[in-house]
Amino acid sequence: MRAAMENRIAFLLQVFGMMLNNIAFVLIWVFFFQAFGTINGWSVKEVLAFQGVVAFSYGCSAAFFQGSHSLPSMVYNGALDSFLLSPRSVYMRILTSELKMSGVGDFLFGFILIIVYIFLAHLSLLQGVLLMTLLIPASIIMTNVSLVTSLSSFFMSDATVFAQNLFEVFVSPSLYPSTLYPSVLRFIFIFIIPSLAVGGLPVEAVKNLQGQWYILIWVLAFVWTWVAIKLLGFSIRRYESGNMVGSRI
Amino acid sequence: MRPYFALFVMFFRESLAQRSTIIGSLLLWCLRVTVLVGVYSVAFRARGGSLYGMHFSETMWSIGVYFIVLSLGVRHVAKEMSKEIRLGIVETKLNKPFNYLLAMLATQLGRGCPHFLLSGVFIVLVSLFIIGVPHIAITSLWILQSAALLVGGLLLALIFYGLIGLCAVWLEDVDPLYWILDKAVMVLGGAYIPVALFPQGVRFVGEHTPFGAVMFITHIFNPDFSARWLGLFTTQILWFGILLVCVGYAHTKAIHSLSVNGG
Repeated sequence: MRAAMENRIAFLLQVFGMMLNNIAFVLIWVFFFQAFGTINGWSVKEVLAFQGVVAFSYGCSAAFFQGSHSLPSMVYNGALDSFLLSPRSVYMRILTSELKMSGVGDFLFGFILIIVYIFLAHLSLLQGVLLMTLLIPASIIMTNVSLVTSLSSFFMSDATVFAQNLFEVFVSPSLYPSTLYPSVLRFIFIFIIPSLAVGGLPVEAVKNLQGQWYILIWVLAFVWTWVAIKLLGFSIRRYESGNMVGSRI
Repeated sequence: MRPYFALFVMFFRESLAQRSTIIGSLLLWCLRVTVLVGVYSVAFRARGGSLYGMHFSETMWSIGVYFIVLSLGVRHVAKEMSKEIRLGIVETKLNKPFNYLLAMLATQLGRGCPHFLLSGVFIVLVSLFIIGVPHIAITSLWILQSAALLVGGLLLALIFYGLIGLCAVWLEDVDPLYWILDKAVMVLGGAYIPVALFPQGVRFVGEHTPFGAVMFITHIFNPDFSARWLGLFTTQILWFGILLVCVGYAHTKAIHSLSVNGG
């Protein structure tokens, strides 16, 4: 992070460029709700909230745990060897091996949107605190699902683009208002692909103070952490060294 | 034209060989179509079936067409050019006896064609099966008008994204610029919500700026398309001319300013 911030202009361009980039997704849904009006109790205000949750959790994952996204290129280039030789947790070493500066822009943008939503929706102190605490499991789910999709690189050669597409399959549904999903799709995108857990579900949990969704999001965070660690262990057994010579400082 | 066609065929074959990438793309289209059908069916049911003359079927076809054209990947020209300038690969291409921008277009069209054909077939079949035929008169005139807007949009996209790519000569990192302008195309081109459903002011911006002009093909299912076709096509030609002059100027300046990385 310090090394990246040495080149201040590039860093600031990345951060603010990403914030401006994210405004597009907010604008799309603002236009949608301006055209269709309130649907199932959701309006423009809730757009700010769920877009904020997605941006924050993605930003957290990219800014601090970019290794989960970069794993396919590490496997392809044989750069994983140094992690396997270290006595520390391979899981944490992979996650924290890289940082992405533009993720800071997502993270900040998401945080700002959530603060704006809290004021616009006149949330109580309890609701505000609950929403903030739900950002933690949302970020955990985002990071672990990213890692799980990246594990495809252990089963096929050069899975960089395939892993990216798989991750998009997870992230894309989270960018849509969760109350607009028919019930079958809601079930799929909560319990099978946890997209809504990093998007609209935290907003639903807080807006109507629904304790079951609050608990479910935390449970999903633990479940997906367990799944990611187990699958990582299973996948590493298939890994063959690329014999790449280098040093990690 | 032969060198460009050869490039197109070479990258078409290369793209076709990357089956995992194609399968991944197809999964993504599957998902996007499923989710959008679900979301818009709920939205239109809440509004009684139509909005500003657009019905559920026309809305879904409009968004489907956006994703079909997007899969061609002309927008990746900007990132490819930026990467080649940063890595110094551009020096090996500038001294070749063909136009660099046209070569980039041929390369990108070759790479994007398998995705375009597969997603096109998939989205059209799914749309016909789940959504049904759009409620518009599909005449030979309509087909010709649509083809004109498609070709105009693709050429405009090449110039537009080529200009962004050329900025790498001065900016080194064009990613932030690319993100912002690409998202402007996404919003004003009718990616997730057709332009016909925009507020009036935003619709005006979408129909008179190059960001929307790149994707005028999504307007073909609008109820007033036939009346507005000439205006849309004229706007595309106008912006193509303006941006072509800008690219020509930028290209000349770039050749003089170019500092080739890597020696």
